Parts: sequence; structure tokens; C-alpha cells
Amino acid sequence: MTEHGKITAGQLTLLITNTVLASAILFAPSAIVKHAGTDAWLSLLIATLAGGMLALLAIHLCKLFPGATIFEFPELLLGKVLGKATAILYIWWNLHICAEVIHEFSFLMMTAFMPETPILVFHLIMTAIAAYAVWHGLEVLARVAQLFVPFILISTLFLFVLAIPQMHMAHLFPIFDTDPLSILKGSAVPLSWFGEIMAFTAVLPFLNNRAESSTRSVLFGIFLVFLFFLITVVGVVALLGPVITAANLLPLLTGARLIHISTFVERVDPVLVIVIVLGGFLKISLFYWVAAFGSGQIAGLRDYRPIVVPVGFFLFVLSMSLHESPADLLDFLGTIWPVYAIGIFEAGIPVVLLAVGIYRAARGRGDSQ
Amino acid sequence: MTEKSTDNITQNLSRLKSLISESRQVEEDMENLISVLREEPASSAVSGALGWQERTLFPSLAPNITILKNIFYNCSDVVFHEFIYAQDSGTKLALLYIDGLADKVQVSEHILKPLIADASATPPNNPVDKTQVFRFILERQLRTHQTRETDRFQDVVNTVLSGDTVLLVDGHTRAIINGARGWENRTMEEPGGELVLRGPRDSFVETLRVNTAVLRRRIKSPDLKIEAMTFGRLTRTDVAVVYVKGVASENMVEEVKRRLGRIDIDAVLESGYIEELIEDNPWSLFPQINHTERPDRLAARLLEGRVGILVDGTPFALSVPSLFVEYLQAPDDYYERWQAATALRILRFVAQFLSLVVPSFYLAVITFHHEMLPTALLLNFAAQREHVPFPAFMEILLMEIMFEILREAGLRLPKAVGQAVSIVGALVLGETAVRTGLVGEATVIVVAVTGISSFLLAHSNSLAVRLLRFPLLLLSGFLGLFGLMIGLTAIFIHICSLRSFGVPYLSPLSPFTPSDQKDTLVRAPWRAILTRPHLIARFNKTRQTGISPAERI
Repeated sequence: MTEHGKITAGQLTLLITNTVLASAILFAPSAIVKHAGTDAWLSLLIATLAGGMLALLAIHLCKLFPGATIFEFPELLLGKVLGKATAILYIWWNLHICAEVIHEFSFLMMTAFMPETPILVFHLIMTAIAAYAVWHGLEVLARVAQLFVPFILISTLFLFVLAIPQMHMAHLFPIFDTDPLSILKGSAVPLSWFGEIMAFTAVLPFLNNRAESSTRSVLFGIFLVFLFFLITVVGVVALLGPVITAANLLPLLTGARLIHISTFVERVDPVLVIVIVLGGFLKISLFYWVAAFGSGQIAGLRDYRPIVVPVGFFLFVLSMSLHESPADLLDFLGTIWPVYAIGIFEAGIPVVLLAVGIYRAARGRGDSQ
Repeated sequence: MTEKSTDNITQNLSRLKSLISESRQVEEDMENLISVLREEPASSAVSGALGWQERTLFPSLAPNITILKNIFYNCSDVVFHEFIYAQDSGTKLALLYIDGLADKVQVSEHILKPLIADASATPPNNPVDKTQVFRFILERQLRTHQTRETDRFQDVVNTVLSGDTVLLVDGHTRAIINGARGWENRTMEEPGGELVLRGPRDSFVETLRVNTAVLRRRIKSPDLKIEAMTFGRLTRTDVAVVYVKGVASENMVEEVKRRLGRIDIDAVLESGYIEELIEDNPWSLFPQINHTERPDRLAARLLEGRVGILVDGTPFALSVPSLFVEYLQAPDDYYERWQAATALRILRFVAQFLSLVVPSFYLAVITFHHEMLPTALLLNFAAQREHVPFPAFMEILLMEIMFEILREAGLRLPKAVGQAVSIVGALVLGETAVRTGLVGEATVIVVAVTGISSFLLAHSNSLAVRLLRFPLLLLSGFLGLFGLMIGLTAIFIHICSLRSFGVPYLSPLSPFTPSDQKDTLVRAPWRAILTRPHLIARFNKTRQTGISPAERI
């Protein structure tokens, strides 16, 4: 399997940051605030801590089998049949996330920009441009991320700085007013986004100095995510208030529309959408790459590039047929997705794999004594 | 008496023997000659099977001359000068050179004069033996600066074509190559394409030797290596690979030579031929090999660990690897004060971006995202465009194409006519087109901004930007800002995937190298630029050790 690319620790951090943030800053405010209200930041803190644990889990799994990806080591742990089945499940999961993200951003483009353009156009173009990036491999993807992600983060920050005059600090209070269960419920959705770091079990083997930098750069990425997540949630709530935030489909966009400085900066939301879609493109490309690369690895191909286009067609069709309406999408993301993603792919299978791995290692040591 | 007569007889006999052996030699030569001539008819001497290329010279002069005359059949500029050696009237010599390429003064003063006129060069009682003529001429008589021996026809032909003068000596299977080249050069002028306000004013010329000399004058170190090669089956163009040993990585030099070694082409008339033959991605619009006509610039690149390729016949020297950011840097950046240099660099980055996106952004905003404009301005735009017959997309596209036509016309026209173009461009296309209502004022502004911005860039890079502007325009005409974003993303993916001789094209921006940022967007003060670019000069990074704070005043 040829992916000769190597990525640096900095690139890994930025890829992780973008992967979690890209769709999160769009949908997170309403998904969290719906449950936790003004205590959304607390839900976020819990989700970050739990997400950090999931990331450590992923890193540990990778350290058990240095150089092997999530599509290779289950076979070493669970045997050929179960191992292959697990790998195929993970490919499905990556395809599913990818299709969901394509769907989310096509939906965003259609509602925010061009309500009269058939949504098919956005699905097709997003998949095509991601396919172009995936074709060039992980290294190029990481370099693009290194260019784009700082720009995306700075633009997001800049947006909230511009919005300060429209913020009302009173919207943020009262604090500690929500019952603990709702706060936990509010943390489920962000946690499912944090858990997408599990996809990096296919990326970590390509880090150029794996041993020293993987934990640090992953955790730094999570910290960056937390920071920007917090800015977004707090900023949007301060702009719109908890009630409107919770009821809104795209609260960040609604918030951005309030911005006006003097008479020349009036409606910056098209620029904001572009910036967010840029992040979405990177996220799509990453999962697309993992899925295509993983499929190639399972099938024992020498090069995954011949299947980039077929996988792209599959993604396009899947994303087109996932949800019937935006409400369906949001409902799915808010209720089913956390259980499905965290329960099976982000915590369930990895915990089993790690347990088997540790047990095997211990027994192996016992045998040798 | 008998003794004398026997003596006489033996003498006659030995003469006869030598005569017979000589005639055998002649016979052998003739056979050889006939076989050579039969192999290839004279008319196809160069393009045919080239049997002479493998042959060595014959011992006597006559067959050599015949073959060479056949090779240079119908080459009226080749001079064959046959004459008799002054020291020994039995020895014939022949001088071969090309009129116009050989320095006539050197040929007559330093080659012909000693050989024809200086009879007294040998001691009278010790005449030159025929077998020693060659050594004698080579070691004692020729006054040219460079001499070389050869015994192959190929060397004789090639060196004559390069401008050297070849001396053939009767009775010897070797020839003497005299480096007495001298032809008309263009004098060194100020570089046409890369003007600076502060900095040296010299530039490369069309002659390789002059170019290597100006380079050597800048880097007076034995580590500056100038390796000679020849390319082009017909043009036999001299090419020199130059690098600073110990600074340029060995692998890079090897890779350059390996890629050059793959070239098999009939002609190399400009360094552009070689550029396209050795670049990493021939499909890309972006130049992956940089060129310059400024010796100071090439020297600076060599000192950063790059490898230069000088080609005879063109003042443009190539340098590899070349990075995206190089095209946004100017030589003045290093000579002017660093704050201003930094500001200008950032300005060039902005200009590059502007010249790429301004027309498409304007198009996207006025067709798809009116809400982004302040109301007063929006109304103004609408009023301007009210009487314009085209859709905005067509309007901008036509103006952009018109601008490109103007620019190309300005480039090709003789200087005297050039003014007419600017008058027509400014008045007719700007002023009048707006007044007749063919285009809106804002479109003219947009096209002007785009055009002027692109003048800030290096020419080879601005070509890519000029071409890419049109697909971007198309995309944003269809999909607004989303289309523009998709187009830009595709461009960025492409640039990120490029490599120039193994070095990522967008480095040091991505992959990000912190220490190289001192000479990327920012030009740090010289005191602070302590290292060479990391990915280029991999093994010898130290530029200066730095001035300690105590020494700073």
C-alpha cells in the first residue's frame, strides 16, 4: 500500500482541530444549548475531557502496533475474519461521516447562499474537489490544511471580534442553573464530534516522528478545538440568547448576519460561509482519504488511487440519499448519531481492541517467562 | 671503392624499403579512406550513420584532409589552411578553423607565424626529426593559451565547430586543438526584465564563458563548481551546471545531473528547452524552475544551496529548486532597508492574490451577493450597469481579454509604436467604452486593478496567474463565491502537491519551517538571517555565526 507521505506534528494538530471544528461550529451551538442552555460551556468542558480520553485511547491503540493503521491491527488482534469485519465497519463509519459532512455543507450552501440551485450541484462539487485532494494523498492534504486552518481559525476569531458590539453579556447568565443530566445530555453531541479523532488511527502511522510528538500534538489539537468551540458557543449565545440559539438551524450564520461596522461592513456572512465551507472541504477530504486508503489496504491494493473515483461516486450517492430534510439531519445528529458513533466506533470497538491488546501483551509476557 | 659501392647499395636498398613501406602505408590509408567514404556519401556527412565519429586520425595528412573536407562539405565558413612547416620542408601542416569563430589575430600571430616564419627556432645543427615534429610544435612553438591533443575525428570536428583551431601534422595520428576562440559578443547591458533601483547593473549575455566569468567574479572560491556539458545533437549547445560545493546538497547536484543526462534532443536554443525537459510536473502552470539574467541573483541563489544551469546562447540562467515565494521576492529586497523590503514583499503577496481574484470576486458580489455591498454603492453599481448590454460575466471577460491583448501588443510592438497602444488603450478602451455604455466604470477599475497588480510579479509567475484568472471567472460566474472558493481550493491543492526537485513548492509556508520565515514574507535584517533555507541547503545551514550583543553598537 503506497502512501509515502509523512506529516509533521504541526500539520497533525491542525488537521485534528479542523476535523472536529469544521461542522461543530456550525451546528454545535444549537445542539448543546438545546439541552444545557446557558451552561453550555460546562457541557463543552465535559465533552472535551471525555474527548481527550478518547484521543488517548486512539493513541494507545496506535502505539500497540507501531506503523499499523486501524485497518490492519484488528486483524492482528482478533484474527482474520473478525479483524477484517472490524476494518470494514470502520470503513463504513468513515464513509458515513464523510457523506454526512457533505450533506451538512451542501445544506448550508443551499440555505445560506443559493436556495434555487439544485442541492445536487453542491454534493457533486464538494465530492469532486475532495476527490482531487485525496488523489494527491495525505501529505498534500496536510499541507493544504496547514495553509487553510490558521486562516479559518483567525477568520472565526475576527468574526467574533467584529460582533462584540452586538453581544449582550446578560444572555450568558445565569450560570449553574441547569440540572446535571441536561448538561451531560448537552455534552453528548460535542463528544461525538471529538470522537471523530478515532479516524486518526489511520493517520497517526504517517506522523514523521511518531514516538515523541503524537500525544502532544493530538492533545494540543483538542485544546485548540475546545478554545474555538468555547468562543463559538459563548459568542453565539451572547449574540442571540439561549432561546433563539437553541431554536435556530444555523445559529452561527444568524449571529454573523447581525454584524455591521459603520456602513461598509454590513453583511459578512457570505465570507463566513466560504471560510466554514473551506473547513468542511478539509474535513470531507480527510474522511474520504481514510475511507479510500482503508479500502485499498483491506483489498491489498498497491495504490489506493484507482479507487478514489469509485469511492467518490459512492459518497455522492450516499450523501444525496442520507436525509430527506434539514430537520431530519439535525434530529439525526442530535439523537441517533451520538449513540451510534460513540457507542460503536468511537468508544465501543476501540475499548474492546485495547483490552484484547493489553490482555494479549500481558499473556505474551507471561508465556515468555 | 667496393666498400663505397656496397655502402651506396645498402643505402639505396634502405631507401627502397622505406619507399615500399611508405607506399604500403599509403595504400592502406587509401583503402581506409575509400571504406570511410563508401560508408557515407558526402552529402549526408552529419545526419547519416556517422561512421567517421568512431574513427581515429590517419598517420598521413592527405586522407585526413579528404575526410574532413567531406565532413565539412558545403560549409563555406570552414577554413582549411595547408602549409609547409618552416623547420622541415618535408612536413606538411594543415590548420582548420571556422571563419568568424576563431580569433584571427591569435591564429595568425600565435599559430601561423611561429610555424611558417620562425625558421630559426631550432638549433641549426640539430634539425627537427620528422617523428618529433608534433611534440616540438606542441611544446615549443605554439603560443596559444590552451592546447589539447586528440586522435579522433569527432573531437576535431566538434572543437572546430565550437570555435577552436585545429592543427593537423603530417605523419602523426594526433591533432592539436588550440583554444583561440573569439567572436562578436553583445556587450553587457542592464538586465531588461529585472530592473532594480539599488543593486548591480550587469547582466548575463549570450556567451557561456562570459557568464561563468561574471559568476566567478562574485564567488571567488574554488568551491564554486562549473561543470560543463553539451546538449542538442545538432546544436551541441554548451551547458554548465554551477553550484557551490559544500552548500548545495550532493543529492541535489546528482539529481540535476541525472535529469540533464536523460535529455536527448536535437536542439537547445534557450534555457527554456532544458527547463521544460527537467521539471517535475510538466502539466503545471506554475514555473518550477526559476530563471534570472542577473548574476547577483544567481550568485545569491547558489549561496543558498541552489544549483544553477547556464546555457550558451541565452542570458537566462536557470536555478533549482525553485519555490513559490521566490517569485514574490526581488533582488532589491536584500539591498534596501529591511523594513521597506518587508512591506514591499507583503505588498507583492497581496498583489498576487488581487490579480488572481479581484475580477471573480467582483463578479460574484454583483451577481450573487448584493447584500455584501453598502446600499449606496450597490445603487451606484446598478445605475452604471443599467445601460450595459452584456451580462456582468461577459462584460468582465471581454474587458479582461481586451486588457491581455493590449498587454501583448505593448510587449511585441517596436518602442516607437508602443505609445500608440497606450493611448488607444487608455482613451478608447477606458474612457470611451464607458461613455458609450459598453462597460460599467466599476469593471474598468476592476480590470485596471487586476492588470496593475500583475505587473508586480515576476513574469513567469504572472503568466500562471493571468491564465488562472479565467477559469476562476467562469466558476464565480456560475456559483458565486462558492465557485471562487472551489477554484482557489483546487489551485491551492495543486500548488501544495508540486515539488521542485524534491522540495515542496510552497515551503517554507507549508510545510511550515519557522526559521525560514526570516526570509519569506518578511525580510529580516541581515544580522538575523543566520541560516540558509532548511529544505534546500540541508547539510550546511550556517550563513553567519551572528554578531554577539556585546559587539552590537
